[in-house]
Amino acid sequence: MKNQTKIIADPGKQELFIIREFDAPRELVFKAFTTVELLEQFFAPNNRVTKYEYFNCHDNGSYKYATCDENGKILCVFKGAIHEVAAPERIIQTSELDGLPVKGHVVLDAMTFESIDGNKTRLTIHDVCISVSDRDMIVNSGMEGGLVQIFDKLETLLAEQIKN
Amino acid sequence: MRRDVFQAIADPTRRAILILIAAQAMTPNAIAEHFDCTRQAVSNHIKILTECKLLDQEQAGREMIYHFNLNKLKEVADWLAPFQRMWEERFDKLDNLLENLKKETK
Repeated sequence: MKNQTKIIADPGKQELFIIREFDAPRELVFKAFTTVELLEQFFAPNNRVTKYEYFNCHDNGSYKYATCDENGKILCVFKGAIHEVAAPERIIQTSELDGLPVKGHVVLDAMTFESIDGNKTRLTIHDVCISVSDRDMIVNSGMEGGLVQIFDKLETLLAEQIKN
Repeated sequence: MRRDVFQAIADPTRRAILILIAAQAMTPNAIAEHFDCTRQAVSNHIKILTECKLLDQEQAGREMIYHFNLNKLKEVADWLAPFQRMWEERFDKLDNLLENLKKETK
């Protein structure tokens, strides 16, 4: 039985939560989120590739990555400032979609890694947006995901899950 | 109808137009000024967004002003599903990665 991903995005709020448990110690989960070679292996949704231009993972650091399709075509670029890296429990950073005609649609992104039962980890991603419409836009557009493909794939994935 | 909405917001320029108009209602000319592509291309994007009701038109004197229709997006059933799916895909990959890392450290 797979660990469930819980999304909380209450109507009319500027924030959203993404919560997921992992069957691994939190040092390991933290390492996955702070090592560029590991991030590039998992952070892209299916049929996507994440490529970091830079990743200065420390207090007062910065990052910039591109999400590409299978042919290497860049779909979107995200960048931000890394505010705090407190191993192994917390990362706080900003996130902004690069190349928008209007600046300022920035998201504050706090990731908390909790140790549970010794060998498991609960990750909570708490995103706070500038406005409710920004929050809704992020959730609705699935900006990073390439919504149409994800949707097209949904049926196949569901079918596979039923088989398993 | 639901599929139209998803197709409409799958295009990066149309997403940018939506974000622009979500902040402030605008005329087509004001929208076009923010983009490098031709006015014709922008007006085609606006047409698609209007057809699937993500934008509302309002006649103001001689000009047309476009508003963002957030309710339309919210009408989409399971509005969280694609976003959730995206994160699930990431986390499933991370599960596999963590299993490998655990083996390496043993």
